[in-house]
Amino acid sequence: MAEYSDRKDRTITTRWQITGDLAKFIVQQDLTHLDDWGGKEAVREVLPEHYQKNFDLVQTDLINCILEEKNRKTAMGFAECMGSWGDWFHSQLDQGKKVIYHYFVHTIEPMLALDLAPVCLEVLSGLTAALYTDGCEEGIDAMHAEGYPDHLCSSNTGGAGYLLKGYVPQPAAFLKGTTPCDPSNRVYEYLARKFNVPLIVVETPYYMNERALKYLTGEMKRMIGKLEKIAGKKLDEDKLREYVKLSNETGEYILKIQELRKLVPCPDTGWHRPADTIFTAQMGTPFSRDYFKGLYEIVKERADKGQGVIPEGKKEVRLAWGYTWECFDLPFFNWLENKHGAIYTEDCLTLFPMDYAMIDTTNMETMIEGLAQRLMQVPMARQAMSWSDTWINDFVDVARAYKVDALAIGGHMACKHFWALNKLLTDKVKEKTGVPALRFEMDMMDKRFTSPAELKRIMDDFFATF
Amino acid sequence: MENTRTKKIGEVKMTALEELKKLPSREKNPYIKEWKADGRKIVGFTCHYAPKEIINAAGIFPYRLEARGTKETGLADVYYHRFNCTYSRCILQEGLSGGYEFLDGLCFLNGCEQIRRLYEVWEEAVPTTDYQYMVTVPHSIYDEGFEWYKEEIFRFKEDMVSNLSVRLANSDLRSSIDVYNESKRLLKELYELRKADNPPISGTEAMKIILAADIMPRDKYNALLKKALKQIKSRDGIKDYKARIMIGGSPLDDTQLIEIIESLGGIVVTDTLCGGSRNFQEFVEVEKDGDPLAAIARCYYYSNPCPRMLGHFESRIQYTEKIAKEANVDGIILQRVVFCDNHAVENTMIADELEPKGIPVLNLEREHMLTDVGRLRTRIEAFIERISRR
Repeated sequence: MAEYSDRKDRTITTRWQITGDLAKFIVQQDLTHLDDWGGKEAVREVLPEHYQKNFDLVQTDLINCILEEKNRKTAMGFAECMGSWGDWFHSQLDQGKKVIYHYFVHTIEPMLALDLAPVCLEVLSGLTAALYTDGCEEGIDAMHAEGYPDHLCSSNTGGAGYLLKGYVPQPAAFLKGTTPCDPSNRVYEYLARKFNVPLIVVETPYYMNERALKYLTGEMKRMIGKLEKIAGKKLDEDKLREYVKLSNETGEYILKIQELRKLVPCPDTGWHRPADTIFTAQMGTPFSRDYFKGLYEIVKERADKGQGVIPEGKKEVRLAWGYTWECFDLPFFNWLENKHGAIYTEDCLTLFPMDYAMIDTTNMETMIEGLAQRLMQVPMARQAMSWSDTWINDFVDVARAYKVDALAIGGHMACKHFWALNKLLTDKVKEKTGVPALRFEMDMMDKRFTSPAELKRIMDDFFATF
Repeated sequence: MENTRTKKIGEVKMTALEELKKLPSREKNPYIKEWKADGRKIVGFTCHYAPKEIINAAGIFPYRLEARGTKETGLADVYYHRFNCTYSRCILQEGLSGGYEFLDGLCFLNGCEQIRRLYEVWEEAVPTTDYQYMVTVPHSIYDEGFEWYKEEIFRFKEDMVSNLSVRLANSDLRSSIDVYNESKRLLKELYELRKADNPPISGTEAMKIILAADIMPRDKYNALLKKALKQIKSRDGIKDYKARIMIGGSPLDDTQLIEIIESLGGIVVTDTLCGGSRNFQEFVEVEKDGDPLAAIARCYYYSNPCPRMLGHFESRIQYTEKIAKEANVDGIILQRVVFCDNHAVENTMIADELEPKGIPVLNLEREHMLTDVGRLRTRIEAFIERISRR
């Protein structure tokens, strides 16, 4: 893999940059499918040389998916923001900024304001799994080779493996909220010891009440103190405000998009939902804001015209994903729309609660409390950190508000906390709303567990009985 | 010589040591019947961080949930999944099949992902348990976390007293602390005996004694253990072993694995288990005018962190090395139940740290009900060959 970058520790991020540029280049061509120009091999031959190696790595189905008319603009936005993030990140490295690897639920504004370079470990796995034929399996396997078992979470182990292999920059510290899960906690503990750098722990309490918020606000202050030591400077209020305002803007777009997804027909496509999570983890950056702004404009335009995203003549089947998406085959969701008329309303990793997206920027105190509130409520942390009731109630609400026909619940193998509530969740949603559920096993990042072909068979069978 | 006849269960007269070794669990446990016959209450708990002294102080028998002898998980699998560990599934199986009908209440803790989620399933599907409470423990050790945990157990105390209609005075707490501290002192004595070159007790026997602590009233346990220690001291030491073993990893609630180790020539002389040595290292110390509840919280929270505690590996590895050295072990067997993430990573990290220091480690994966004994025997036999003294 290393030959795709001049610097080994920029292997992954450089690869993304090139893929972003490549995607923009391809989408601008007069193509609706690779077969229009004779297939992938033929297209490769007419590509500029510097794209060819990267083109070989990218999933063929993904290229065809983003070439579809309904997906092109979103793909452009995605590619643009991915490339911009890469440029920004490399410029941070060039300036000698310290890299903090953090769990995906963390609010990164304090790190940005402290001139640190935050990198979400799970995005390393997720984005790589989403784009390339070989996914993030090299990273996952690197952790297995160290003796760590396959029931850990591949969203952690993929990125962890890249660190072990030196494909991403050396860490200055790791930042980990303690919930939702044991596998992620343990992987971060291992990494901090392996690289002999601090592990900054943020305790995220079990409850979502005033007591918990007060506690978590204290935790955020402790975290900031530790980050300040690493950064060698104090957190500046105005600078923090600048980033929080950006994340507030992003939050507004996320909430608006959520509202539009409730419409019938649903005006949003499903293939990019993992990208939504990736950019939610970047809230506070202009790339995240731009991604969701662009997405909102696309979805709004369709909504204003009363357009959906399934082929004409098909009946819209409204699916909610009761837990997570899979990341290794984004075109799968496009296939669901085209073949079964099944649209993607919402899932557990993008469901942002309305009340908590905005942060009061009046002063340092209000911002820190708001960041704590957001950390407590951010998708998945909210559902997984606490009582099963939160998760169940959220999806009872989703089933009603999004007029859902069925829950599809792809259970990530590593999420033991999910598997321990899977029956309660499906039973209660059925009991309260009448919405049935399909539960199946998969690994979010690793297609070797449940293959893309098997996922399609599962869905074909489900729709045959639906 | 073991000749002290102390107790009668059914028609069989047994010594204190025999009684501790043979104490059955759940419905066959005579202490449960005796306790309930007196109209008294029993509250189960799921994890080391449960404040047992508080439950006991309220005149309630604290019973650690276990699934000893559970053979299948068919009922539990309706709610839980094959990706959940068989320890949690076996406990749930017992709940669903009536094994825990004797409980008046349950104190759950967020010890791990799989056990914490039992709360809602139990509430939904085990209607015989009238009272449930969740005590949440922070995942890292520092002063603010201590305050949180202290408040959690204070709230639990208030809630339990109110819901189970019991009384609990500070003086009761102090007495209960004394009872539990006495257990710790006695268990330390037991572990000291195991350090001998020729230990007078096998690991299997010792584990049976340890497990009895959490499934019988503690004052009676102390009385039996005192007598049993006298018996143990009077024994000849065990000489015919090939290797001294320390065991660690996932919670053990039976002795099957240790029996396998000892059938192959090993002798288990110590452990780092949460129900074992980690349970009695520190005493609850209450100053004359001090707050006993805070003292209980301090003892549980600050001592010997479980692998769930994030950022404390250094403390755990130091503890492991210390215990191994004190017991003069030849090797360490770290076992984990399949899908136990905390111990899966922890055991591998420990092995990676200790092997280069010349401390042999066997990292084993198992199910809660030992069904693949042949595989385990082969691995353990090979390990014992590697580290054998003779």
